[in-house]
Amino acid sequence: MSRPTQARSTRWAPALALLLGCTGRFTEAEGQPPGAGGHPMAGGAGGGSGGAGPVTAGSGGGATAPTCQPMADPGPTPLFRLSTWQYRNTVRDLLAGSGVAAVSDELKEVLAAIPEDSTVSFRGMDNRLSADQVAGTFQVATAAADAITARPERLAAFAGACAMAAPLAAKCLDDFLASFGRRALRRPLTPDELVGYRALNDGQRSPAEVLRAVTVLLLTAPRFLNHLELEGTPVGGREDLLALTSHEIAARLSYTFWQSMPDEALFAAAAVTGPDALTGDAGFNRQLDRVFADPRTRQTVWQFWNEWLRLESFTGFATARPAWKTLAAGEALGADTYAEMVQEVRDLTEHFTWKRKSTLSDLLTTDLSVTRSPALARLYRTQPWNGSGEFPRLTEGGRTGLLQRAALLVGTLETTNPFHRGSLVRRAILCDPLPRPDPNSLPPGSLDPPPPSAAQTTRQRFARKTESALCNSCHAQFNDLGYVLEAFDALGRFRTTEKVLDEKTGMLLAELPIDTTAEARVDLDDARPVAGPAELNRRIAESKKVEACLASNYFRYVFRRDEGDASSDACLVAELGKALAQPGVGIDEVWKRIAQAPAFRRRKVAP
Amino acid sequence: MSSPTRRTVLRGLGGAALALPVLESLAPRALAAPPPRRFIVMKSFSTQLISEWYPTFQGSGYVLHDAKYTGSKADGTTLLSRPLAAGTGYTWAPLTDLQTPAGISGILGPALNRFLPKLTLIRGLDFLPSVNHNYGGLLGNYSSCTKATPCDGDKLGRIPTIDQVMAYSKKVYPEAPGLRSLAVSPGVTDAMSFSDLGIAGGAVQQLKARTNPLDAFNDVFGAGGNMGGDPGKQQRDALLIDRVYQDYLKLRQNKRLSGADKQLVDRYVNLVAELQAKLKSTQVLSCTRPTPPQSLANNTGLDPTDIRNKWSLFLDVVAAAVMCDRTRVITIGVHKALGPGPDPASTAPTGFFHSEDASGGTWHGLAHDWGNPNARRMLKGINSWIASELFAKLLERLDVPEVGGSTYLDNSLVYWGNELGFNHIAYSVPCLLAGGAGGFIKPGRYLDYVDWNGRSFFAQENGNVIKGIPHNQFLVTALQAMGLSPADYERDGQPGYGSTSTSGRPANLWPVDYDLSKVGQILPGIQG
Repeated sequence: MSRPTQARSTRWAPALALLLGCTGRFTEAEGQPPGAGGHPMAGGAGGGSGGAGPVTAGSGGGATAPTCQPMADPGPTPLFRLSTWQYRNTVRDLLAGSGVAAVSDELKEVLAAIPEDSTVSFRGMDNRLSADQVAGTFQVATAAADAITARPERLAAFAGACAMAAPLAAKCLDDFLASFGRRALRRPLTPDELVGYRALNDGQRSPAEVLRAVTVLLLTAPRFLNHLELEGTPVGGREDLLALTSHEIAARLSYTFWQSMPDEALFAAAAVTGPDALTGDAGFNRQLDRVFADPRTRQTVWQFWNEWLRLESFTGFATARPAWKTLAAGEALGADTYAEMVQEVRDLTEHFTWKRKSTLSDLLTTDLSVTRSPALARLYRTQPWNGSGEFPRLTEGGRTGLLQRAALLVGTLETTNPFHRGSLVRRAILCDPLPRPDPNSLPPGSLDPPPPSAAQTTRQRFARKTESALCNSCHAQFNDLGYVLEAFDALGRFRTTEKVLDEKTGMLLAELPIDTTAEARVDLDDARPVAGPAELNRRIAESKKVEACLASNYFRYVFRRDEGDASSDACLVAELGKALAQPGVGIDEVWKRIAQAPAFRRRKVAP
Repeated sequence: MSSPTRRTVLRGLGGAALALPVLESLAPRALAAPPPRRFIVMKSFSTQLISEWYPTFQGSGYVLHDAKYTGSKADGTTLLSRPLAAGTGYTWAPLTDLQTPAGISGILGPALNRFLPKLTLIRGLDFLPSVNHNYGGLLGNYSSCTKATPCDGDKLGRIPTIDQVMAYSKKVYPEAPGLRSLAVSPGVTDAMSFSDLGIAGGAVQQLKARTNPLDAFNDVFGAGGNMGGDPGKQQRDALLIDRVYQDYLKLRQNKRLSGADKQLVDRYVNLVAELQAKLKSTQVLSCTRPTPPQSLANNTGLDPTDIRNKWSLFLDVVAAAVMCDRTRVITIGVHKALGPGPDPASTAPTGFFHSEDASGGTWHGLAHDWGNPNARRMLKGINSWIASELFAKLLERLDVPEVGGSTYLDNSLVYWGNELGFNHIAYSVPCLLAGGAGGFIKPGRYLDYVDWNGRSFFAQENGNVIKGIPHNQFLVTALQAMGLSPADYERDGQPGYGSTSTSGRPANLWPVDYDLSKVGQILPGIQG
């Protein structure tokens, strides 16, 4: 099943996009170019839309979520190429494990030329294939093989001293294929494969030429560049449901948690047969524990948060604008400030994941301030953490939790955009379906952003713009979430008044009291007013919708696919969501549990 | 860093050759076969100012629309009166009639005057589907809209853009080429091209553009290290690639692949074949392999010198690719340009980058601020720069003898199109053609397909939403100009190319009643 891929809002045509939720006609959008504008929760150049939100499947609480069918198969696993991240890691680790780590440094340029994966959804879900990728991986293969074989000492380290003697001995090549070949293809070579590679050693080529050719072929082999899981055992005799082989399981483990190839311990485990085989629970759990404890897992988990929260999408503050300068006057914002904001999110999620047993609710409502950045601490009107001892507390304005950190609130411009902020929460954090509108059925002029006014707050201007019943039918789902977040300005600072600035001169035109009470409807049928950001966070935490949403997104991140309809996937997601809310389990445990599900060691083949 | 010159990229011709006009020196001395046709597309973005893009000439028998119409139709542009095609209300005029020392319009300035006999200016091309900001709309993939401005209200399927139909056509490439198509686009890697990689019914994906002139050069001529450098090594690598190709063919037979999996494998098969062809064909260059240009890394910056240098090198690569017949299909995304700054008193050129960022003062931001005279002044300046410094310079490079008295330009179809029309509206989307595609098109004319006697639904700035002619007919024109016949490009039994759906456009707001009986035909009168 393919469900709409939700993308964050962008600066793309804000004037046109202002009221996109007003038409009652919805579309599924396509890709988004790189270099896009600010953060989805952030303010835009003018208007905003319900177009915000990152990469969720719209499940985990949404009306269209697949239902749990515990007895059903998992959803189909498509053939995936290595993501660009995985590919680069794999090349680096393969060379390092083959005695030629230094070669990676010489490949930086050609590795950088491999196209980046799209950020429209999770990067790992980008399975597009381009000429650049095919040509680029070929360039990497030839560059690596050239760099190795051009220097005798490297060749000896790579293939053994026997590679110095011409003609290349058959055993020398076989040993090379049994070591480097096995690591490259992530399993021992088959007899057919061995015959093919041995044929290159025809007595006419020098050892360096033979090994160059074999290396190029291995680094461009379908099995090296893709996750081929085709050799499993049919479950119940069914060719469309395969129990993965031990080597396929080893690769799933390493690519899931490390984004790279198996290490030698995993290869060794994959070679074990009998009760401790990787295909059995005991052998598997032993390796899962080991792999999960590796520091690389933390990097993978952080990347999940980073992509889910769309933290890479911010393109910087408009520091040249007079109005922005006025807004930021007195603060110590520099070129690194946004990176420090992102680091804070990382530190916070890691603290609640790895350093203490926490529920997701703990993370969503904490008042700890973990930033070491003086500039960011100043924005929060607190002290930077000194690296040890107790964390300072957030005390100003009821700011709490992960979702009200500056990295999720800042905008490029000096103004906020409650539509962007609200729709991000609705779509990405709560996973409620928020369909995309079609602007073309609107009369001319209705797409213009509400003009700045010294007499109206942002909330008043935006509310006025969407007050018609037609507009409100959609905007009612997310405007109020954004209005509560008006408690924070475009720098992410708490405020009780809104400074209306002249964008050309930066002069203060007015300072207006803001109203942050709204019917946020975290649960759509809950019309109780929410009186500010702290209460919003409490409601969000109480709803348990984020747990379900996060579990759904994590599923997609790990399995690189949507939850399948009529499958057991939704059961797994529900189980993970429940665990995120269960005291004593811990978020880290949830990240691990996904690999303990039967689906992790199986592949369902779609028709 | 020293500033690379236009000649830097081509200095591989040798000292003697450098004494000649650079581009002429690239041309093969004699060609036995008829010259191939090429399709080169240059795309600019957002709003195009109608009264600055189209002629406002009056005199010598010409009057403005204001002389005949009132209201928004009195838009200050030149009224044409010569019937273009029998039975239609379409009109035309020789471009030279409208020539002034300042060019034919505010944007199409004097640098283009020398090319007027080879240009075709078209007014009245309408995208029928609901289109907003898009990637490949001007080449027929009307569904290629952006996230924040969805336009695919009627769920159009992605189809290849016409450049990719051409790129995989044997009519364009009877033999596998070194490079089926080249895409360049400083600042933005997403190309305007969508391709099924020649797999009928295969999934359609957006292609990537080259943002560094050196990368574009390497696409065309091969990187010095692995492709194009050492023929012996290249041949050996081509043999290795053949092994990879065979591996993918074998993989495709695996019964444990799903249908979608097989599509991915098919993509590999085609792309590996492409790579193989590239490795083999480098050895038979029909011209001297130029020296690679300087590497200018991609950025989103606004440094005018960087923008100028990069464009100069890109245009050199494009011209060299055409002259060496390395590729016949090229797309150029104009995401960067120079223009006047916000201070009207300043003459210093300012760099502009067109992206999703519509903040005040950005190129995109100006396009949203079209009601502001100063924004319009800047937009005009940006587009004037594109006309004189990119389009005219490209034509300059191509308008050199090829064979039989014709130039490379004469044998090409060069299309300057825009993402949208006035104020982000997909009606009357600007179109300027150059070259005649080997005589297929009769150039030197301004063709107006707007139904001026029809209803003006609304107007903004001085752009009117009045029914014109389906843009699809331009697509058909371009496809046929490149030698394709309907059987080569028509899909699902539908005439023409690209969706003609107007679903989602209320008839009270937009023209929707187009005559679709002729949508499979080329633009009326374009052949003279």
